[in-house]
Amino acid sequence: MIRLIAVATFAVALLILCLPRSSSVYQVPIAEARHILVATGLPPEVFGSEEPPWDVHDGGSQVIWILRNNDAEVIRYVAHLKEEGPGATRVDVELVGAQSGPGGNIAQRLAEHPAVRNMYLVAIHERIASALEHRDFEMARIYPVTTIAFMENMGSFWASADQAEAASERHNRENIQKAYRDEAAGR
Amino acid sequence: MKRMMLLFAAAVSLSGCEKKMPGVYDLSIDEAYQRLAANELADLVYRRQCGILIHVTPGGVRPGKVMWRVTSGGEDVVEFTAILTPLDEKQTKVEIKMPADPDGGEVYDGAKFYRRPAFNQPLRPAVEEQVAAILEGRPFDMERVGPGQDSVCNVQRAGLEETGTRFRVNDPPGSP
Repeated sequence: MIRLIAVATFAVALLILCLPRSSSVYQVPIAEARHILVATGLPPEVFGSEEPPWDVHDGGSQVIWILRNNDAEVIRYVAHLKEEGPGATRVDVELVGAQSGPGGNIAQRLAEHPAVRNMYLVAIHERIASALEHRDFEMARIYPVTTIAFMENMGSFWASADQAEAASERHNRENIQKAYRDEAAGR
Repeated sequence: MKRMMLLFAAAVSLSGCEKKMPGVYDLSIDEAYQRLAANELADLVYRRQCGILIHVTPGGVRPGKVMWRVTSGGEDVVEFTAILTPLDEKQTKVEIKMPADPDGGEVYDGAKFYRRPAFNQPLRPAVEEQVAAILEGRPFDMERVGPGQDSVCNVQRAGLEETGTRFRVNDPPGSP
């Protein structure tokens, strides 16, 4: 129990340290920023070797990436762009989960797993920053939050009495089993 | 009462003397071999796998050697071995052997980098716990192993758990 509390405390402390900035300002004119982001893909690693199908929409002051599974929306990133003085753009990103569909209530699952939600947000922040700063994506910047996301899932292993965590483990196990079934079926 | 306390203390100290050495099990070597050589280590795979899909094929050489070959996408990724030594007719010592790494130490020892890791690191304690659970007839206990320390594995595992998408061991260089 003491170990669990220690792990949880450590995870929360790291989570606070690693929370993405709500918005960032880049020294790029807003039109150019929009143009760059529309041509920017998803962050690497967090969605697997085979990226889920996605498309990007240019909404003027917004750039929206929509990730799909079996043609149904799963999650979307919405980047809000605002001119911040001459030649500078403020970018604020939000992560929106689908509330229904084949994947169930993704929005609720993200709310129940703030570390996982944070991992996806930190990853897109780094993707946007690297694109607008004309540099490579730095994996090292997302490793801490991915570790926390993993530890959050590990919590379910150690607290089997907790129904919510058990449900999370079921969800994870089902996803892994489905991946094995797909492999066996040659998909 | 004092005599009772002394008896209790003696009993406790005697039970301490009877504590088995790590890796020693109350099974004949044949029974230990049969349990291990037929086991695909499902708990170890589920608890410690990363983002690539892995398959374990057990094999062995009677009476005292069991090997587990781990593949992904048809490629060998790691193999480890249990050496069984009879202490007497009803006790067997089991020692886990991990392959040496060309860069020193052993594979998956917690200090190695794999672009597409098969298991979280360090692997040895997890293998030892899996073998102990099989031979003692109890569930795999994550608390005896602790969380993995491989950030690359954690990233890829999170992707597999959350979205069901998988990585491949033979992804070409340059892919995510």
